[in-house]
Amino acid sequence: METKSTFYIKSSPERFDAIVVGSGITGGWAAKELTERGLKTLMVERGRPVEHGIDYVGENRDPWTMPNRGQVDARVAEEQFPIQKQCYAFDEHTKQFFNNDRDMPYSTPDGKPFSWIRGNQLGGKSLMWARQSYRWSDLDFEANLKDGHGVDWPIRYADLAPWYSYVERHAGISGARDGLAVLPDGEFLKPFEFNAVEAALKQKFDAKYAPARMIMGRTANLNTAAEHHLAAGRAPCQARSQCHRGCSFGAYFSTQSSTLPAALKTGRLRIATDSIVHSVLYDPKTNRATGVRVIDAQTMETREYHARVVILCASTLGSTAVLLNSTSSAFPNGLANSSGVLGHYLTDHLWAAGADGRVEGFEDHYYQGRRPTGPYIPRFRNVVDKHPDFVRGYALSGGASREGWQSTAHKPGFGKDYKAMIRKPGPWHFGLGGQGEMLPRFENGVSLHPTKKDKWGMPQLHVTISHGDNDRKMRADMAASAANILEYLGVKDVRTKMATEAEYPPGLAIHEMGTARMGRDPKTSILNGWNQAHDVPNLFVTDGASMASGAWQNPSLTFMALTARACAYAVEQMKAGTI
Amino acid sequence: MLQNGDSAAYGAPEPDHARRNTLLRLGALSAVCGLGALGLHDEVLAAAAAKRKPDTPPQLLTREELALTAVLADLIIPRTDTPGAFDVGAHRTIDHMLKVCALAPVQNEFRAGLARIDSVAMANGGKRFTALPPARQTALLQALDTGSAPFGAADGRFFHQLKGYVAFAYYTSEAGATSELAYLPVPGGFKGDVMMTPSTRTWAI
Repeated sequence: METKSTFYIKSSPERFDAIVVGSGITGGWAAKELTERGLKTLMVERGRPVEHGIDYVGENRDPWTMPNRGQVDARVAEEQFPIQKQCYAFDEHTKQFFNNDRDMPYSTPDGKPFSWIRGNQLGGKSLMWARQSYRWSDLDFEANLKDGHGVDWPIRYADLAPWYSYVERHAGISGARDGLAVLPDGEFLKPFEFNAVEAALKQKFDAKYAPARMIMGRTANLNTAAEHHLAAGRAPCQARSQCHRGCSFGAYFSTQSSTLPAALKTGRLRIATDSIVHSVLYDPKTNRATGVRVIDAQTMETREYHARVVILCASTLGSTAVLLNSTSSAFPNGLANSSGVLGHYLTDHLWAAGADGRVEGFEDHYYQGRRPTGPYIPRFRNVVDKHPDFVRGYALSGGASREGWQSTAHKPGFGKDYKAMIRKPGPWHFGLGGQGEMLPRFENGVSLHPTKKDKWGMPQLHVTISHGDNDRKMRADMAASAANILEYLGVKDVRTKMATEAEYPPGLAIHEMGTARMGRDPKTSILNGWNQAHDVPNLFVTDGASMASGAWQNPSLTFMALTARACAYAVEQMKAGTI
Repeated sequence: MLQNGDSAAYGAPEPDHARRNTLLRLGALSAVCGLGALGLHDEVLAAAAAKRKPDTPPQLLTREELALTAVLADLIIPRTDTPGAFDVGAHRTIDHMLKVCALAPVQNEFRAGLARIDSVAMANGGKRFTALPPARQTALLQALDTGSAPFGAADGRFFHQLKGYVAFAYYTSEAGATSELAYLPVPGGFKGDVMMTPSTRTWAI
């Protein structure tokens, strides 16, 4: 492998074969696929470098060694991370991986909050993602066509299936082969175990609700490591469940643990960090993207990089922002936007609705280690029957655990008996929360703010998103069905929990998708079935921006498969001389 | 950053708990407040002084508030076969957390809660809480814990909150996590079902 000084560059006179904008889950995959297929590739990242292991400064820290025992300074959080602090993964161990909201402002309409969680560094959000990894099925790829919301996907499950297998093998996904039509099986490593309560509830659930099933959440953690993972320097998951801090074992998939080492191994990757892409360069004579213009995050100077093909992997809103800011007389409203749909049809997942309660018995059972996933009930609504109130559906996820000191400390008492009570694990609890599909609607989207700029002079994004009627009805059903299931399973003191949109704004599911959607028709979509811009053939967008709908599963595995597939196609087309 | 600047060293629990608790409180008071003139036996003061490290001022609380926090914390989580809240400097951690990780409304509520305890102690026992005999302190905490007379429901809510703070400070301390509870930073894998034994303890994390 080359040394850092070789692969990190600032300026370069050379014309690369490919430029990849972004270094997160999709940017890492693009870099790996393009370099392994022979392309001299430049990865452009707006944030700082993060070295595997070395820069995981919050990892391997006992709570008593942290200045604030894991909590973030309240004034720092208030002033610099008012949005990021809403993320469950944001704490004193991880805050260096979240962007500074003060430096990177965006705007929303009054009364319509949107919480944009961002990780602007080498590796992007792959460093602190939730790792849940699910295939979509034709239930999802055919949904737009069947119910008329959104444009028809130009691909079907069969197009993506081999690519799912391809990325699963490399990334390492732990899960069981459950044989479910709504959630196709993949190339799995050994699944994580259920605990005693979950195993009992699963048995009861599966018997009552078939064909719905309670399965173990499939996650990009190496519960066991295959030979090729070990050979790549990755070790099995230690069940710390502190993944967001970074993992020196390389036990979960991240750019740093998985795709970046593979790309660097080829010797064909160069990386420009602290390089904020201002726009994609476009030559109207050839109708080709010719590179990118960047602003140096530190010096503010502008420079250009050139390549034969440009792949945008800058995150859903990031990639669309670049296109919106790439204007020319040929594309006055944003590059590759002859359709006018660029920036529209933004979705996030419906979240923060579920139920929990207490489970009696099982006092003799406990568990050891912290499992980085949990039980999962794949979609059951609108699969066989038809729900009267809404279209599409949701998954429920959750799990059982025993109360720890954080809960038992709030029970009555003090003194020796109180301390002795906390020493023993408390009662069991079981909960389920929904993750539902939000319909793609034209009015939900992103535009460039006409006047507001950030400190680099880039236009701020203006994000407008709110739930529609179908979304609200689905959320209500998520909470109600979670509670019903818990009641049936014999859970006691069942409480339904549903946050309002104000309490839990869109964005916090961190599954924003759409705004540069794929489609069959260039008049109503930005990208074709290969994630290739209809208007500009050597321009690809392979991240969440490309999604024509959001489905109900966590999307990252699909982003990976789409990216690998698109890159293979791009290389073929370049070799064939069509782009 | 050190937070437990005056955390006292701890040894084997003494058989005479009443005496130990007295020593502890005096140690706490003199260590955190720099108070000397409490009419204490010289030997006791010397023992307490020998235990304490150089005095550092609290970050948010007054010395009196810190002393009250220390005494309350140690009544909530006392030393048993493992260190107690005072041993691990829980009061210092709470002072630090309140200073750094809480905003003004929360800080003010905490101080008002402490003041209420002292004013009820004065009204009912004629002394500040820290100066009351242990039995009297325990009786007052029982009333606090249930939000009953001479305290009210709001005081009960404060005590509930205080227990949360004390538990946080104690169970995230090294002794609290590793000797009172079971601490496994690198479990090495997940086992879904392990049977409890009489020695099984709650996982600290």
